[in-house]
Order: sequence, then structure tokens, then C-alpha cells
Amino acid sequence: MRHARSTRRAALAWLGLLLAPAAAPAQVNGVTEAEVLFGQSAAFSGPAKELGRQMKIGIDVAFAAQNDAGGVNGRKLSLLAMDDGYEPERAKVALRELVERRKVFAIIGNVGTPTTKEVLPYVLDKGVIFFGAFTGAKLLRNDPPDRFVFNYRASYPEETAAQVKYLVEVKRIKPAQIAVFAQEDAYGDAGYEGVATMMRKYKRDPSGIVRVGYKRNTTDVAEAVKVIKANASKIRAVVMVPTYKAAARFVQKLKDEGLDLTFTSVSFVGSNELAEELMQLGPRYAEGVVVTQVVPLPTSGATAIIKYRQALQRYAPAEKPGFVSLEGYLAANLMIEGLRRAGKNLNTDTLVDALESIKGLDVGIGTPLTFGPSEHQSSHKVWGTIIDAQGVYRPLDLE
Amino acid sequence: MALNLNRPPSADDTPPRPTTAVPGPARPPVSPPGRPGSSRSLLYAGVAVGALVVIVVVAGLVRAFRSEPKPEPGPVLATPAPAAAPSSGRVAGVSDTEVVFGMSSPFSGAIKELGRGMRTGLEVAFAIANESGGVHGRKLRLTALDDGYDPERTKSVMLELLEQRKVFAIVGNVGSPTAAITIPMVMGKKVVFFGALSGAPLLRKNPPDRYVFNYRPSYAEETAAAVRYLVDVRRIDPRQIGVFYQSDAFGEAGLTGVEEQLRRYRRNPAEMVRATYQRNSADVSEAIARFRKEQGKVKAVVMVATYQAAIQFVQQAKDRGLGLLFTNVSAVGSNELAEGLTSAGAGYTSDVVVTQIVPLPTSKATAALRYQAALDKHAVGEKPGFITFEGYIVGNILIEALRRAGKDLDAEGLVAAFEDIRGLDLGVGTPITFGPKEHQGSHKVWGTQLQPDGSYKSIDLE
Repeated sequence: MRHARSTRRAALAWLGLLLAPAAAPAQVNGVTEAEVLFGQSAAFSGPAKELGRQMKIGIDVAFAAQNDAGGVNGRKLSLLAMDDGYEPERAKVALRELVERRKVFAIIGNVGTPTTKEVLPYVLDKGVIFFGAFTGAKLLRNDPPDRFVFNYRASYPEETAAQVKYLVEVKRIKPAQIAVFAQEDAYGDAGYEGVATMMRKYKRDPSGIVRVGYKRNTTDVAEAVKVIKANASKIRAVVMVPTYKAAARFVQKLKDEGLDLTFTSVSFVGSNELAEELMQLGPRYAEGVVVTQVVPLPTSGATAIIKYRQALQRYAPAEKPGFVSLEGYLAANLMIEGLRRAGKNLNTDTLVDALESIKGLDVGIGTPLTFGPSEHQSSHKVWGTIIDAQGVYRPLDLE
Repeated sequence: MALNLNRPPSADDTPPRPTTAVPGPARPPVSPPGRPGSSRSLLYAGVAVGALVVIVVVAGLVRAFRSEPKPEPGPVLATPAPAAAPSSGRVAGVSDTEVVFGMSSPFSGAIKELGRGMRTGLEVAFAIANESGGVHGRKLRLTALDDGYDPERTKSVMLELLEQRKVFAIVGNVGSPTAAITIPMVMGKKVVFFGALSGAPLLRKNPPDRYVFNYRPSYAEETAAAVRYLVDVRRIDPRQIGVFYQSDAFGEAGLTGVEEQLRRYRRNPAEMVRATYQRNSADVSEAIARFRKEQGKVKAVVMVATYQAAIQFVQQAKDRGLGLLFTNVSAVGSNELAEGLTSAGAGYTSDVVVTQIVPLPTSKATAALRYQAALDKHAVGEKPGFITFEGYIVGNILIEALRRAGKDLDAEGLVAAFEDIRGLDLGVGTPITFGPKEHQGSHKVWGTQLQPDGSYKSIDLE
């Protein structure tokens, strides 16, 4: 039995619920007796397309495994993904399409900070749940958190803080010797801000940081390389806030220049793609690059990760385990837990309440997952990894 | 809840009677002269002794304390307990259908908007609770009286609330100098005093006064956060920070936080440039003259002022090109400050930071959305603002405490209920925690910066 589609905005439904608790359950977008429909807007084309593709794979296999077990409260989960090419304007169009025409119940696994920045006001205005986006930007982490925004992952400031701390305290590099290579948009700014905050903690003036960058969806790093080279005498490490193609080019050029630098990057880079790109150039480019992660090693023997690999093998046998699809998988499973708790009467408000009831959920990834009315980011854990000469990620102790 | 066993059904709908009235002919008026309230204590003794067997241990012990001076317990005990113990209605301001709270705040004069804002926020929170039947069947009411932010008037207003209006507790009072008068009164009367708009230390003794509870962080916490922001984030030398403050308990409370933080930066607070103004005045000419003398040497001023004086100070400092960065404490009245500076003309809104003790009222956080919906419904036309949001949050914490206190409500039970609140997450971004040693629910300070259009933007203080 399929409910007629409601044009009623979820935010209004929520208000309605608040003001008239006895009202009959409203028809909820994307929810029928048999199905819950989720939407995703991400890059499936262009130089960041692997990020979108991998997030989708992770969500798809988690949904598939759940659906094989009967779905959630009798409903099968499905995902409708649209390509925004990692371009903010296209993301806005895609979101409107998903919310207004396709009437999805919630958004899950969107990719990117600049794209999110563009769509967030719309999402909040519509009162649609925006869950598990692949970005650590602060705009999704307001204090207190926006009601409809939930994150699985640690933030960029948490990642870059861990990197700067590692460089200063483990590698014994002076804060003044750390430069930043960041995409010239909201993503790069978010990462840079994290480094600046750490500099202040080390009593350094952040205005002294050498910041270089490149334009989104390009690999034009010539100017960035030039500036780093010009400051070579005082730089020993570069914190990178890029995507994989630009990052690979940047590392390659600087190594070709003969500079002995430590490179670190945030998880959004697309770790597996970065390692592949660098290995194609030669092991000497790949070896020693540090990447902070917000999920454990996808090759680990931990229970949650074994289940992930089994799901991957069963539902996407052509795909190799990777950090981004693991993140999609974990985010989707967190959503499944929320749906389960929300019960049969599923709508935006019952799901928000259900998600906020998740406390110390141990899915076996090494950190408990907790939400609450004042906490919409389930994990604050950052793992360190380093690429070896075979192009394989090894665990790296960050402290 | 235990006392309900002794309550005859007939008493259930009785409105609150004056507490000096005795419910049965068997009870003589026993109040000795010069001891207001002791007759109430004696009545309490009767109720408490009658029901002690079944009373919750803590509350029972406390109640026993209340009856400590028991010169003549005889006549009270002589009353046939089960038949004539209409326990409800015996607590001032509490009937089976209603709890009445009192508020003494400025509704006239230089900071009347603060009183109005707190009252609006509280009333809206009460209205939402009352819509769904109140708390334990009791509707929440607020009796708000104007003290004009004048300590002398506060005294008579408080007397009226406590003696004539017989309110159950005091909530949402505005002001520190006025609180200096109020605190001894509520302590003497054993009346709960909650959620004042004041960050003064006199409301935050260590250990805390039994009947005094706060939602908000102290002024010292706010000004210390402001100094850290100026030094760590804005990279201003601690020696280049001055203070502008109201010359009373309010201003001095904020001054303390600045001095403490400067000491942490190993600077001597005695060398700091400081200037004051008088409460309920907007005459800042002397203060401006003081900072003009230090032009170039002082780069930022921590202000501990209310909005009219703050508006004047910022405006005149800018007119004279002093090139200062201003920080304000939350009690300034952020929205009133914004209105004043935007209407003063272009350019007056720049470099104005306000520390806040509530999140942005316009945000999409759950607590803010609920608050906005409540305003839309019960205070039509009222725009979301920091002070009304504070009143709303204070109201909701009070409601939570009333809920926990149970049907059998009195001041001691409410104290125990407050102290039972641990890690309460209302979605305001920080858990609310009280305890016997902690009577301040929140220690969280947010940063905001005034925008040219009069709105506030979140900024990181660290």
C-alpha cells in the first residue's frame, strides 16, 4: 500500500507534531509500507568522482545486506544517487530534484564541503535529514548542532589537529616549519582553520603560515609548488587539504624538485585513489605520505570490518576494500540503527529522536558511537596511516 | 507523593490560601511576633511529622530541618492527622492546580528590555508546558513586578512577592546590584531563587547557597573568555586591553574575570586602563576621555555594561576614531545593542563582539527550533532574541526540576530535584548539571560578532 505523496514540508510536519501531538501520522515523503527512499548528491564524474562512487558503494552494500535480512521494520532501503560533479551549483539542482521531485525521505552520504555549503540552507529550510556526509567541515557541526544534520565522522579540525600534533610532537618539526596546501574553497578553508587553531595552541601566529592551493576540479599546482620551493629553507612539512589528483601532482612535483618534505593529508583526499596515483608515478612518490582517517583500516581484522568486506564481496564483488566505501558502509549502518529505533512510525522527527537516543553504540570499529540533542557527530576518532613502498596503508601512531 | 496519601480529595481543588490562614478550627495561630513565616514552619512541622514515615529520606530530613525551631509542636500534633491534613495548599504559591512564581525585574528604565525579554521567554516556556496540562497537573504562573533595576525598589517588590503575593519561588530576576538585596531575603525565607539574569559571584558562592540556582555562566567566565579571544585569536597584547564597566556589583564581577585572565598571561592587572559609568545612566563622557588619553596604547576594550551605556560608549569611541575592538558580556542585551548601533549609522557595528551564554536564537538547533515555534505561538510578533531565549531555557530547566520534584512540591523538594539534574541535554549544546556543590547549570560561553545588518554571527572564541 503506497501513500499518496505529500507536498508538506518535513519541517512543517515536525512543527505540526509538536503542536498537535495527537494528529494522525502524516504521509511522509519517501516512506511507504514497503520502502524507505534515500537520496544522495555526490561526484560521479570529474576528478573527484571516486569519492562519490565509493561512498555510494558503501551505502549500497550496507542497504543490500540489511534488505536481504528483511529490511528495517519491514521496509526495504533504497538509495537514489545523483551526480553533482563536485560543483556547488549542480549540487543545488540535484538536491532540489531529490527533495521536491523524487521526494526522498532523507539525504545520506553527500560528498564535499563546497557542495554542502551551497545546499545546507535549503536542506535546513526543508527540514530534511542530512546524514553521514563525506565532509568534516564545521558548517555541518554547528554548536549546538542543527536539528536535521547528523555526522558519522570526525571533523577536519580534528584531523588537521592530529596531523599538526604528530608533526610537532612525534616528528619534532617546529610549528613554524609547517605549510598548508589547501583547495581554494570552503573545503580548503576548513582544513586551514584547523591548522591555524593548532598554531595558536603552540603560541604561533597563524598569519605566518605559508598557505598554497589550487582550484577545485583542477590539478593545476604549479603556483603552489613554486611558492613552497621559494620557502624551501623554512618548510619541513605540508598539511594537505586536497582531493587525490591534485594531491598526487603536488607531491610528485615537490619530490621531483628534490625537496625533503613530510606530507600529511586529511581523509577526504581519497586515500586509496591517492596511493594508486602515486604508485603509478613510482613507489618513491607514495612512500611515507601520511593520511589521517576517520575509519579503521579497511583491511583490518576487526569484526565490523570483516562484516564490511563480506558485504562488499557479496554485493559488489568487483570492488576492493577502501576507506571511502568503508565510511559509506559505517554511515549507512548507523542510519539503519536509527531507523530500527525509530520503529514502524517513521518520519523525520521519530528518526531524529531515535538517532539522538544512540549512546555508546559499539559497532566494533574501536570507538563508541554517540549522538544526543547536543551531539550530532557520532565519532571523534582519528586514525593515522602511512603509505609504504608497496603503496599499502600501514597504521601509524599519531601520538 | 507520599503526602498524597493523607490528602483528602476535597482539598484537591482549593486555590492557594494565604499561608497564615489555618485550615481547621483546631489550629490556633501560632506565629510569634517578629518572625514572619514561622507559622508556616509550624504548619510544616505538622504536615511533616504526620507523614514522615513515608517521606523520601532526603526530602524528609530537610523538612524536619525546617521545623527546627519547634517551640509548641503540641497543638499541631494534636490535630487528627489523617482526617484534617490538607497538605496541598499549605506551601506558599502551590495549589493542586497551580504553581505561582515571582519575578522582580526592570520593566521600566534603562534596561527594561532585559526584564521584558526574560519574562517573555519564561512565559512562553510556561505556556507550552501548560498547554499539555502543566506539571503534575499544576499550571505554571508568573507574577512579574517592576523594580526599575533599582535595589531599593527591589526590596519592596520582593517583600510584596514573598509576603503578599505568596509566590512559591523566584525565577528570572534581572540584575546583580538588585540580587545583592534579594539573596538575603530568599535565603532567610528559604525560597528557591533560580535562573537570574546575572553572572555575579554573589549568586555563585562556594559552596553554593542552598536556595540559589543559576543557569548561566558567571560574568568572570564570560570576560575571561573574551580576554582569551582577544589575546589568542585576535593576537592583541594583554597590555593593550582595557576595561569599561558599570561601577557596581555587575561591572566588578566582569572586571574580576579580566583581572584573573591577565594574571594567567603574567600581566599586572593594576596597570590596565579602566573606566566606569553609573548604573541607569548612559553618561560615558569620562570613560571616553580616559580612553582618549590612551589612544593607540589600548587596542581592545572588554565592556561590562548594559545596552544604553554600551551603545554610547561604542558610538563615541568610533566618532573619536579610537580604533578599538569591543567585547561585551551577554547581559548587555545583544539585540538592543544591535538595534542601537545599526540605527546610529553605518560603521558602528564593526568590531563589536558579544559573548553569549545561550546559542544563536535563530539557529536550526532543536532547542532553538522549539523556542522559535513556541514564540510564534505564544508571543506573536516577538523576534527570536538572546534574552528571551535565556528566559525560555531557564523556564524549561525549571519545568524539568518541577517534574522531578513530584506531586508533593515544596522548596526543599525542589532543591533536591535541582540537585538531581545531571547531564540534562536540552539540545542547547552543553549538558546541564547541578549538584549539592554545583548550583550553576552551564559553564558554556559562545562567541558572536555583530554584523552590519544587526544580526549576530557565530565566531570561534578559541
